[in-house]
Amino acid sequence: MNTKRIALAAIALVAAFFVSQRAASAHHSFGAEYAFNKPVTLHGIVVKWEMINPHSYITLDVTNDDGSVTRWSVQAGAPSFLYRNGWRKDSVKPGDELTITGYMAKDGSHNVFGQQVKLPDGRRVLGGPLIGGTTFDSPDSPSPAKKSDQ
Amino acid sequence: MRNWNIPAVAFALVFALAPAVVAQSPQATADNSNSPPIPRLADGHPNLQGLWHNEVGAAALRQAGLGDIHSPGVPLPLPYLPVLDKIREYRLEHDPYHDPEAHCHVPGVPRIIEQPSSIMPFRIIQDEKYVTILFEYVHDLRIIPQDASPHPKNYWAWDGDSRGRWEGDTFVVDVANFNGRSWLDMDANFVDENEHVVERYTLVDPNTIAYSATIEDPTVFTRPWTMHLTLKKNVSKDRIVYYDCHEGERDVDHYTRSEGNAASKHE
Repeated sequence: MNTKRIALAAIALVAAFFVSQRAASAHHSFGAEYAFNKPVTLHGIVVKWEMINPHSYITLDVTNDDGSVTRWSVQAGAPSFLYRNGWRKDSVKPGDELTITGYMAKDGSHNVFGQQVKLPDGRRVLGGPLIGGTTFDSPDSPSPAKKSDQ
Repeated sequence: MRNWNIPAVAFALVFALAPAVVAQSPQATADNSNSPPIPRLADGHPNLQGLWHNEVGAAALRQAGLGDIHSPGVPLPLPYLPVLDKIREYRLEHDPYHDPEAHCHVPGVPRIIEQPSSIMPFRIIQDEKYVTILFEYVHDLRIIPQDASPHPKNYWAWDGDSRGRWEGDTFVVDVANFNGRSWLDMDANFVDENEHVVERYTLVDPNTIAYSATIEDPTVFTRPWTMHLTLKKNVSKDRIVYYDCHEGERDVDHYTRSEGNAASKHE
């Protein structure tokens, strides 16, 4: 990456930071619920997958360094958003091993806004439309679902 | 870092500097001779039908992934009467919990066009008497007569009452009878029951509507102000997908007391 590109990227990140303080999803304020300054990566086993409105949820059991297990609730996008990005009701099932990157809840609870989900087959799929996510032509989205899945 | 490119940078800067850019943004018109002819219905009026979204919001998602925030065509900061801007600032800082949209109320006009519709599309259905807008977001629905009929008396609603008319090729919608409880966005910009909106929908090419909304509210703002948006037709096989706000709503429980949730269980 050359110097000019680094500089442009830095400018973009600064600009993105300022505007993303106001960023929000369709029906609630992201900034009122989740902390931009608390990114998190979770690796765990799916307990429950709820593809529901207004946000979908993945319940994930994560084994801590001391061997204990913490149950996390990961918020993902609305079914309409996920559907357009190739998700289906059977995209995730209990027992799947997932890696999820996202942002912690501000209230200290074990809730996370799931930005990106790495599925067992290695595909990275978008969990929500914020902060690097897209709803259109995302390079991280899986291939369109087969016709039989529509 | 590899995903950042010059168009994304440019867009992010434009987005961040939106108020400065707005003043210089020309409003699109229907007489652009470089555009292909616009489709028309049998009655001669422009055919607005199709699946649409707020293009600027979609671009934000595509280019910078910044979510559902203000379009550059919103002239921030809004011209509040003295003291009222302080109320907005207080609500933004301490009371986002009370944004009606967070509690699943319909957004009102023009918020429904500007914000949810940057992520979720809406479909326009039109005949010789009505223009109907079906929104994916919370099943919101606007059935707009084209006869410039008067607003009813003693009626109010979150979306107000919409009455349309044609001015040349522009569909003009007069919206009044608001309940006064809406926020204009998640930044706590607000109106009261004296809100009056005039929307203008101009089909500038088969896939583009130049949209504007002029908002006046003499008990909130010092003067009328106008937002300009570009609505783009979705020509893919996409469709309205079911969206419901109440089905599994858990977000407001996580708003802390400092954000206005007096019943927070987490502090």
